[in-house]
Amino acid sequence: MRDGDREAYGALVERHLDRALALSRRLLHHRQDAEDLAQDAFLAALQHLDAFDGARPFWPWLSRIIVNRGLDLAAARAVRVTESLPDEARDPGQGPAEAAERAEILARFRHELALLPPRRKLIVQLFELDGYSVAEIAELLESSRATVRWHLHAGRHQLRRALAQFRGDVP
Amino acid sequence: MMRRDVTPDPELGAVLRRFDAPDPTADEQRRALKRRIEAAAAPLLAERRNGAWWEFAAVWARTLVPIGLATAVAAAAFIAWTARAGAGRGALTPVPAQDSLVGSVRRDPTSQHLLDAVVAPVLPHRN
Repeated sequence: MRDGDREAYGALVERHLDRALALSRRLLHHRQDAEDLAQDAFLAALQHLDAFDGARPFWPWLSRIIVNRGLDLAAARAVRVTESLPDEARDPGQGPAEAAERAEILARFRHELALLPPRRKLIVQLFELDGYSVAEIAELLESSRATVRWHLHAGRHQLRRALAQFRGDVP
Repeated sequence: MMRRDVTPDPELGAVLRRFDAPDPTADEQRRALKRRIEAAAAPLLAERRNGAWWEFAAVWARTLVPIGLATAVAAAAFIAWTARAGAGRGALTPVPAQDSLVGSVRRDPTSQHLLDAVVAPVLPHRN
């Protein structure tokens, strides 16, 4: 690919596009913005290919580009949050009271989730939803494992508290 | 407490997943994005195939820079040597007679006449 092989580049894009899109969307919460970020990251990777150590895997390098740019974008402007509550969350089998309580819990949880700092929220989501390990997140964010663990603990504590309030676990 | 947090929390994960809408990027959108990325990358790839001007410069620099430096050193040495050789002959130093035009003409009558003819004032020509 360093020689400008289009097929090799196409294969590289094909191999990493889904993960790149998922990570971009995790950062920006908007499909179009996520696609723009993924495209931008693939081009940046090509532009700076000479700085890449070919003996190492490509994905960690690409994902760091995505995360750095995505966090900058998220911080620079108000991120358009267009994710809607999936229909699955509204269970038609529930009674009105149950449904109302459930909706309230989810609204509260969603509020707490929105309050998390972007970096902390990303760490929690990568760990809980995408199956990244603490070590992988630390590498992705160019941070120490202890820092990642701390953010993970603090973020999860905040979210658990939001859930527990409605179960009566927390006064 | 921190140690407990290094394994995923199934309950928290389940609730988080509710807010994690499925990826709405359809196959067609994905293909369009891939085409867009490849189209945007085409000029950069072409540049890599053809080689940028600075890559040629970098290759030739390995040869030309040492040659240029060697030439510059040789030229400097030559200039220094010629300057030292002519150091005793400044602009105000009288030119020895044997080095002048007068000195170059041999002192015999013929040469003296030639010299007189060269240095004599020019008189208006009369018909």
